[in-house]
Amino acid sequence: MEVGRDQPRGIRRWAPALTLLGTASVWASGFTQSDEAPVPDDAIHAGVPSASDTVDFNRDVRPILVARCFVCHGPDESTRKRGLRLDLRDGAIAPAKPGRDPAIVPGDAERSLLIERITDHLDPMPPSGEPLTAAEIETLRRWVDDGAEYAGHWSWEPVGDPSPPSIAPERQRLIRTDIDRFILSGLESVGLEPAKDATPDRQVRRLSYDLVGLPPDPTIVAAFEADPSEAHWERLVEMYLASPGFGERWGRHWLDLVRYAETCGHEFDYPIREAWRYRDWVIRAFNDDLPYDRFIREQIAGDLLEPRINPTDGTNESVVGTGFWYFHQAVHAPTDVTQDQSDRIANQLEVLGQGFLGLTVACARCHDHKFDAISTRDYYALSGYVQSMHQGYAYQDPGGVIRAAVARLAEDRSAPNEPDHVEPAMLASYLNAVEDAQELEFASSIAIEQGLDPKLLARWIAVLQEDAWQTPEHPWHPWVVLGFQQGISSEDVRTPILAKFDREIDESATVLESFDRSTPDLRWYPTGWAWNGHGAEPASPTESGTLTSDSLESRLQGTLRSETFTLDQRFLHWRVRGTGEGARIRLVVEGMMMDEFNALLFAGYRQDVATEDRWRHVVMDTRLQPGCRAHLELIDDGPGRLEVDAIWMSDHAGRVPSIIDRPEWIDPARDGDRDQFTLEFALATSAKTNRQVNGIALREPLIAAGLWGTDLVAADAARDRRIHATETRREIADPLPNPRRVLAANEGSGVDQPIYVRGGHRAPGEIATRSFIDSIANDQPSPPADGSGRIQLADAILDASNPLTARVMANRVWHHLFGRGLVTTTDDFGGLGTMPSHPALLDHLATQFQTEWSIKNLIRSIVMSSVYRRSSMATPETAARLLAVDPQNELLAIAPIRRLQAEAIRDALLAVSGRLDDQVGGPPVATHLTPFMTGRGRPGGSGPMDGGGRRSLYLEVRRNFPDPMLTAFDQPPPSTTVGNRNVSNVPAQSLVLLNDPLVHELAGIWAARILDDSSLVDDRSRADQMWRAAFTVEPSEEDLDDIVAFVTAGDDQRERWADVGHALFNTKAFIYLD
Amino acid sequence: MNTDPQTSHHCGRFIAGPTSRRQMLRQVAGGFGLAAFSALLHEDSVAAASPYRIARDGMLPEPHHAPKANSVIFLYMDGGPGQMDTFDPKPVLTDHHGQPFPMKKEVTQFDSNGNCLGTPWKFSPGGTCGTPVSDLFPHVREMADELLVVRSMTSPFNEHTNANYFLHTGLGLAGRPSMGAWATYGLGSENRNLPGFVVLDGGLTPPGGLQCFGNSFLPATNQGSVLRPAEEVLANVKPRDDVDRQRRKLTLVEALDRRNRTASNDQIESAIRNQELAFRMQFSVPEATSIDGESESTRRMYGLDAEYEQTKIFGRECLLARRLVERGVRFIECTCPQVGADRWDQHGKLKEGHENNARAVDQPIGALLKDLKQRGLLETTLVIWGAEFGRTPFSQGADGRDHNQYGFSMWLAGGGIAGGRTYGATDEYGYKAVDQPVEIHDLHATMLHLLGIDHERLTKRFGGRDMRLTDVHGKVMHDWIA
Repeated sequence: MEVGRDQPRGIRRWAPALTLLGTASVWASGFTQSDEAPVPDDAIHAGVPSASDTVDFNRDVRPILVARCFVCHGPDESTRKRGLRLDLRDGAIAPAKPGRDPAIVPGDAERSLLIERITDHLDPMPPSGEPLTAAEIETLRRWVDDGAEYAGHWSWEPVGDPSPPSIAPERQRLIRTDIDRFILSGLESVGLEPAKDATPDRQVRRLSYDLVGLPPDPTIVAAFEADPSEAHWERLVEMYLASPGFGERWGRHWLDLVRYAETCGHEFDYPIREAWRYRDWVIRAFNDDLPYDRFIREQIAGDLLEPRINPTDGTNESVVGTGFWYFHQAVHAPTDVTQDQSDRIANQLEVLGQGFLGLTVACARCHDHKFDAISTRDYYALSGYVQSMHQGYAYQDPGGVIRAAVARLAEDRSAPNEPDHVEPAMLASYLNAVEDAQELEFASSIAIEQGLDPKLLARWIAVLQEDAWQTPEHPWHPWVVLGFQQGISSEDVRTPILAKFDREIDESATVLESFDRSTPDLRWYPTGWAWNGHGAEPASPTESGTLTSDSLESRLQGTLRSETFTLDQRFLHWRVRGTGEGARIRLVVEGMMMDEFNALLFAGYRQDVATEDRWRHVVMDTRLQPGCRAHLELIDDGPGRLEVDAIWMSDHAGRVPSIIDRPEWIDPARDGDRDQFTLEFALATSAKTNRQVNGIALREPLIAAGLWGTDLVAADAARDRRIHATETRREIADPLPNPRRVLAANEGSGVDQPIYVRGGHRAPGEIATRSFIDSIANDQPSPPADGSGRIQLADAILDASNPLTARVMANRVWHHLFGRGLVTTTDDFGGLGTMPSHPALLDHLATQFQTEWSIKNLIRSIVMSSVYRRSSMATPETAARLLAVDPQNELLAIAPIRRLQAEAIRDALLAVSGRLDDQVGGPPVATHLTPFMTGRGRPGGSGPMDGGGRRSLYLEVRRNFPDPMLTAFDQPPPSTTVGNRNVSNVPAQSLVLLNDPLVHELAGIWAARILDDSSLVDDRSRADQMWRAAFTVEPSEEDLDDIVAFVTAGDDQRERWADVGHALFNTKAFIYLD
Repeated sequence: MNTDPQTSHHCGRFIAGPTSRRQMLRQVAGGFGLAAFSALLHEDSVAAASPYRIARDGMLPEPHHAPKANSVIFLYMDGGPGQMDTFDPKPVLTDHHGQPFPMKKEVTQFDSNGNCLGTPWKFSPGGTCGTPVSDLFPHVREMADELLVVRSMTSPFNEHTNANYFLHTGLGLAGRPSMGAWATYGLGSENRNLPGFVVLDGGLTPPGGLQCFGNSFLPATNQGSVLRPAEEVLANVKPRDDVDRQRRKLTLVEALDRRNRTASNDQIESAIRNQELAFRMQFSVPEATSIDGESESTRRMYGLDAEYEQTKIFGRECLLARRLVERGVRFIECTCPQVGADRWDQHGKLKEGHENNARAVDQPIGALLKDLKQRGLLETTLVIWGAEFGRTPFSQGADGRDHNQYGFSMWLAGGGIAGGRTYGATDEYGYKAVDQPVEIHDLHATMLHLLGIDHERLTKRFGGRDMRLTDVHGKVMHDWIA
């Protein structure tokens, strides 16, 4: 391969790939006009075109076309001018319309309109912005003369497995791994000699900060200096890779990609609950070297996968990853809730696209992507996946305690425990007798007369006189008043009781769910244990035609979500009852979850059901969100119970649908037919369903009161059995712990989105069936209707044919180890991104990475190389040439000098001063508030100034109250994917190190520790110790002289040593890696 | 190291015409290396790669066109004053007070909408132009000839934070650079010892918090520095050591730095320069924010002797804004003081609330305009007054107004604006902009234009796009410009 000397970019010629993306037709989805302003022409320059002899389409030509032509002549049909598209060769060489000249005549620049128009002095293309430079014109001219060959965009091409370049035997000493061959070949092509190895101390410092984000222990440095062998280096690498600090360092890199935050921002900065569990999950994943494919899969669809079990507590690890979706911002009172959701989804897809694929998917929200093969249809097809799941919590069961209890409860329930059957006729006899007797004194004789047990009848009479049975709420109240008290013959008594059962029937009602069929009307998705006990399927409706959260046990917790439906009537109705204590119903409109904190505009959509277990008709006024998509949640998050009878929509607030009609047993009462009324009551009570339409469990009060049986013995036995069964269940259930809640995705029904024309939901277009980006994946399976299809989405992202996933991550790892990726635009591998400096090396890394998806292996392979271990000082012979041919050091002749990242700086301050608390994981440390941190949502109290000594990634991430020190050193705001942080260099950073009280405090702590260390016998040894702790490298005699002189010039030794500590913190070497 | 506070800051202002970067370098480079100064103003040190990137990724080599304004003062009226109560008189609304509101009402924040609510305040013409201003703003009314009152502002959001992020950053979500950040990113600061983008904290942080002033993906030097009216004005600017002790320490640092520059690296060089600068900022910031040298009459004019404590607070902000403009600060935002119930966000008790808020800001704003004018600074200082949205002409509850994004008023003065005029109109009830509606993007485009920046050409590549303050929107309102 020839690379010209004037081409200092180390770029190997990309294997020519003439296959164009065969997907052009889907880009042109028939959108018409757009008045949107084009991207300004001068804004886009993907690189300086090379003047080498060979023109490479991707390297030289595409950047010009992208920057200057595609806005009007690219993939986006809606803004295409004159029907000409230059992103496809067919479009460029054929006349845009019959009779016109083609833009390009391959092999003949002079006859090509393209060249003519860009060189037209009077009216040059592009019509706005700077004209093309002479070099750009020359490049295009040469490309056309050479035949105007196109190539697919490099990142869309399959990942190759290039063999490492061979290196002359005498230069083998420069090679440690295959990576070095690629790098060295690039250097040789421009005649650069790589620098020597860095000194052993610098190598260890670099490795320690890169792998665990902390300064190395001086004893480790000393040991390596004494024995800088390859084997020793390997041991160091393994030691750092095995350290828990590894996951903390690399986990934080990942958190940048997923805009990790613990609050929602906006007006009140409401919390994102349980966010930190995802942070710890990320740390564990890196420490366990969870294969990257599984890591991605769990974030997209961990709730749907065969669980990966946490070895420590037996919980489902996989589901925790799905928190990834929900670190977006959130607003509590959007007047346009559909727009609000579509903004949230745009952010979710932005993070998915940029984070996993290096693609700016969200650009296609309003128009086909200007530069990449991503259509609006692709965007809305992806959007459907997000529509089809819901933010929520997963319930976890550390130690499997709940699971074991559920098994015992299920076993217990399956044991025969139903009371003996009592014939309705027999029950009716007692009811009649008790009416006849009325008073205890007559019980005996009437019982004997009718062949009943006198003692049982006496109990009947006593019980019915108890206050509780007289209250209107008691299920037996109608019978107590009308039967026992014989009120049935009085119109005045009858009327108010019967009125309670008369309802106005709403003919307009649409019943969503009545629970009176063997299968429910809506599709329901359970989490936790309350609604299903043990299986994945929700419990079927009970025989009684309701759904209860305590079919096994009321202490079990869980949530049931409905499929998505459309609010096309004005009111949503529920018939529910419950005991409070976590029993709750909720209407979620367009995924709007903030009513948990503030229910403006969503008032009443989330209600506690504390009806003291009486039925209640709940009406939710949905008139503010007509036509919106919604789903329902039945929540039992406490020891209480929740029961739902029916759910319907209607245009009326007060009426009920015909399914909720009068109980049959009440009808005879209307006519005053006492015998028939009693018989119906008896029939209803002893019927196997044990329930009337109104859901009143008539039998239960009888059993509890010892009235269920043909005689007293049988009734006592029935009561005792029930009490015993209850006791057994309590023994199992009472010790149950609350489950652990984890922020997670919950599955919902499959929703396919309409395309929102130009991004506006008020202009819905055709439906975009859920699928992955068409130009990357072919032959995708149809998405399921009963679920989101996220497993298929993850499959497509991880498919071997998708060239992006592995390349993007391999590049990220390189970026973190060198401060710059092989592709510098780490989050954009599309048309506006940069070309890789070493394409073959990138593919080599990606290919290796894909074999086992091991991030540790990838890191291992890089840090074992010579290029990683290089000095930052060029050899004197090379220094001048380096400046001339590779001033940006893209070819890595020397190691780049890097500033430590924000977290590493603060962590180093803690570590060096001895204040570091090395506890891994756990809830965040409350934000320390300074007087400058003001505004709504400010926490009531401040956290400790030193964050309890915890590493920086454990400091609470409040969107509206970011840590000032970390912000000053470029920790990005958590709004979108940031794979490549700013590295700014501003006075505010100096002010932090100079005047921040924490820095002063830590300097003092450090000084005290040094002075108290009896092993340090004199000032010189103290100075030496501090120096090595701060900078790793050995101090010079002069440095020690300066420090000792500084200290001895003062009286107060403690103050002077604190000042030394503070000075060392402010010395530039402290925050730079060389 | 120059440690003399008397000579280490710049009191002079470079008013004369557009200042090119090269000129500026020549003027202020004394004592510093060129590289260091360029790093200070444009310190995205990793980025500066190709000739293209320098133009894109930092301060413009020179403005896109001759600027009319050098600085911007944004008077942020937190919460949203009612347009019909301030600068957009609506006699029809007043006539229909208490009667049913005749137009279709859009969904509001509280969904508690009542009848027509006429304004409790009288309007009178101000200045020679006669632009009507309500009695809430008698001092501002006196300066009516300087004001361009825009009565047809619109916003896509009617929730505070969405609207506020949108007003400050051009996007309804947190995480984009603030307009002040864009201005300093494009033009840098004219004073190396002061931040280019300053927020004067009156006590009320805008809804959405400090993210309204963030730099986001722009270099950190462009973020808004919040100056508080307190002993410590700017975070970490107050030395925690006495000067001698600090200087002793820094001398040691300097010696160690000098010896331990293993490789000559631009980043490390500029970090060293920044430390020197930080040292000087400890003196320049307090100097700029001290009003000890201001005359008694100036203080009185700004209301620093007012009975109402909140007038004093905002008066001090406005006076400081003038001092910062004099010292070359590029963008200054003044936030409102706390007046009790709630900023301008009068969902109830309109009369009491608006009166308190106006009482706090009216006299200081009038004074600011007058003071800038008499010092010849108004010509080159763009003053913008306004909020994230306005208020409904129908009542909320008994005596409040809900948020209204469909039509509201802002005004601009100085900095090339043709004053003494109104622009655009709402309907006769003051509900929706019906004539010449203006978007916030247009305001941003015009603001940048006056600063000499083409809003379509000030971009920063981030996340695969060339980001702009105006996204893909915005048009320069040439009609507004003198």
